[in-house]
Amino acid sequence: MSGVYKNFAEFFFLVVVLLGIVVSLLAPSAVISYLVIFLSGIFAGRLIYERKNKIRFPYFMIIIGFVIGYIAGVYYGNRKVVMVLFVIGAIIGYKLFDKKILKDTKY
Amino acid sequence: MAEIVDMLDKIKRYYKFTHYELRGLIISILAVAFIISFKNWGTAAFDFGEGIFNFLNAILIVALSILVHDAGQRLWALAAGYRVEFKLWTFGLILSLVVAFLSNGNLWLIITSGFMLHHIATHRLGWFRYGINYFGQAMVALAGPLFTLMLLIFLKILSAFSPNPLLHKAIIFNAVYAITSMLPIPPLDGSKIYFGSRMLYAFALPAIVFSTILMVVSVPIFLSLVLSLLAGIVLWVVYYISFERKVWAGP
Repeated sequence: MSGVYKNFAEFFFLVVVLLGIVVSLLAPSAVISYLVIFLSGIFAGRLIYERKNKIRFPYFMIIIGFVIGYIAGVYYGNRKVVMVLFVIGAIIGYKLFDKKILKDTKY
Repeated sequence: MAEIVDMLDKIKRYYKFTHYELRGLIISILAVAFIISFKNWGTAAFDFGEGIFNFLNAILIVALSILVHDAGQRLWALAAGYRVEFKLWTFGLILSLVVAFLSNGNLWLIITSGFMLHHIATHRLGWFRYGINYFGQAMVALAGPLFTLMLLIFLKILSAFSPNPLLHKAIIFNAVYAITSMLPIPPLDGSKIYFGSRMLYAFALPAIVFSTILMVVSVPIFLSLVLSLLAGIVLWVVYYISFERKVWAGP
């Protein structure tokens, strides 16, 4: 258990790679695929914002893991479009939280 | 009489929504309405007119349900000298949308919001455990699903007199909403009940889940309430005997 705790980034990297593959395979069409990756991008933006002024690298690794998994599993749609939409979503998500347009519950 | 006047005064002073609460509430209502109307944008092909009609109907249902749920918590909190602040949960909202997209709108995950409890100093005077405490928070959280259950009962009675698809959808939505809000994931109500009192959670979760399911499958209201109460008590006792009795060592 302590090994997992020490190497949480690697562990979650693998988990989200698998999650990304499963989620992208579940998408029934290209449009849904693009919408899901865009929303995931917004969430990634929130995560990056949350880690502002803190250690970010493990979280970047986890996010990249999800994107790799998702791109690997994309059946409908173009992989480049998926990548671009994810980046756009992440920028929008970051800006929405940075400008306090969206505020999240902290626990 | 004094209590009623005091409560009315508290409602007048503290019930109103702040700017951020309103924003969160509107986003939450629109997102959830979109989720529950996701598969109603045309039968064979995409139909914008039909979709908008269903979306507006869904907004009505969701707005009513979320406001009733929130009203329960607000009133309960005010009665106990607290103030509730509605909080949008962005991660839950995104996850709900993703699940709706992936399941083609067949799976509703209504986990878009939580609440934050604020202490109203003057109104807590004289209360045992003056500050905010876990159990108080659990009771406030429980009021939400209970009010949703009451709305469900009201809708069931209405649908008995004039059954229509809108009421049926509202009943299904409230059942799902009551169950999902009882999940023990922060910041949902279930997590607050769970961390406030495990025994309360062990009773409330099965009671609410059973009652909503029984009502949806058209068991008479009174019978479903009695059965769910029994199920809650049985599972509460089972949980106590199998787990709580052994781990609870006292303060």
